[in-house]
Amino acid sequence: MTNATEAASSQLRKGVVELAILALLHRGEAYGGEIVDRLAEHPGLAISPGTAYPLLSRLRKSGLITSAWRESPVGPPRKYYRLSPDGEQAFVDMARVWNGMKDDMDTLLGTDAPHD
Amino acid sequence: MTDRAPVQPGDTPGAAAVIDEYFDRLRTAAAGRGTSIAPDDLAELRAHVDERLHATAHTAADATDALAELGTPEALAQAFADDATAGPQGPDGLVGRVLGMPYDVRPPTSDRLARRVWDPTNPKILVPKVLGLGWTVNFGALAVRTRLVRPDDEDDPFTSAGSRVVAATLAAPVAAAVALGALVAATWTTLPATVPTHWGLNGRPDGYGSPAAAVIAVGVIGVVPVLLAAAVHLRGRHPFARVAASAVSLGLTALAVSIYAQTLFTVRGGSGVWPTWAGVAAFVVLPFGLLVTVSRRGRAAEQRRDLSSSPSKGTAR
Repeated sequence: MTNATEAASSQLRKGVVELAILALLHRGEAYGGEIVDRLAEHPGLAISPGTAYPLLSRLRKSGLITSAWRESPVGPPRKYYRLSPDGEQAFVDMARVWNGMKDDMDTLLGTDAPHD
Repeated sequence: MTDRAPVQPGDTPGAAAVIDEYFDRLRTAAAGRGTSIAPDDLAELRAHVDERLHATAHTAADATDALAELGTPEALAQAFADDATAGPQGPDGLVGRVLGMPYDVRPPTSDRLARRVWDPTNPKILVPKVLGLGWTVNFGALAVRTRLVRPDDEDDPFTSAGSRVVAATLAAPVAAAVALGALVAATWTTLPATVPTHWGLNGRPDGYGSPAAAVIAVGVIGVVPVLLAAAVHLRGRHPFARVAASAVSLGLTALAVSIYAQTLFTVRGGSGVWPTWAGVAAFVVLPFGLLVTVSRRGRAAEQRRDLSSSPSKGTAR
């Protein structure tokens, strides 16, 4: 993969991972490490903590998610993230856009796109 | 970027005025964000608007509709600014890399300095300097690596620690500067006419100067940053910038003390450069300690706020 395609792939993933995090939090609150672990269960969506935490910070600053400390049953308190009302709406809107894009992209790519 | 977008032949005066006003606002907004938009990009934007106007009567309302697709000039300028900082080359080449080393020659700001020296969400310990060529230490990454903090411990760095803690951080560099002044005042008259000002790797002096030159150099390194940090505090900047300014100036003042101590050590017959090495260690350890302490106090304050108001427990994994 060239530098140019790596940069383009990175941009593509960033948008998708943002939606993936909203989808995870739509199912229930989660702490940072848990979000990284749960995304890692889907290899195409796996991100490093170095990508996850700035993204969480940005989502929080934009008001789509909120954070709060909770006692942990297995160690020190953890900071949990959850969707705000705006985040719930953003998730619905983005999921709708994604579904439309997914179908269109499948049609556009057809059988030409390689599958790993 | 001062050139005006040319009025296209088909534009009515109304449409042309609307378009010119949009591009003027776009340039102003870009300049306000420390970037400029390349002529080719502006020409492309203009061509896009012209294409949209092609099948219209070219009225001011048509121009407004076409421009609406681009978003507000401010939002568009922000998108260009984001692109400029995300890429390898910054606005006007003020930020970039040369021979693999990062450089940044934009006028430094206290906010940018803070983001460089304390970004626990970024795992990179060495990050581009806020001014000049090379790298500086991201103490936030170091704190995460040493498990003293977690990347998301604080919602807003150093803000929850409280205004008194933030203000108190300035006491550390001020105390160090006072100590430096006292040391210089107490020993100034004992210095010979020529003092060592530079040492080789073998620990022997290889550069000499007057005591006045040595003291001025030490003052520039050790006192000026404290004055700048005090200005950041007095101007009521964001707690993030204020704490970072305190920490960086503390490190520099400690380094200045060590340089002066090295001079004294050498003129009094000592051999070796251990005072300098002690200063280099203090240059890293003292700011690190200050930043970690304030961050942990901020985390503790956030936890008190949340845990006292919510008895619910998280799920174990």
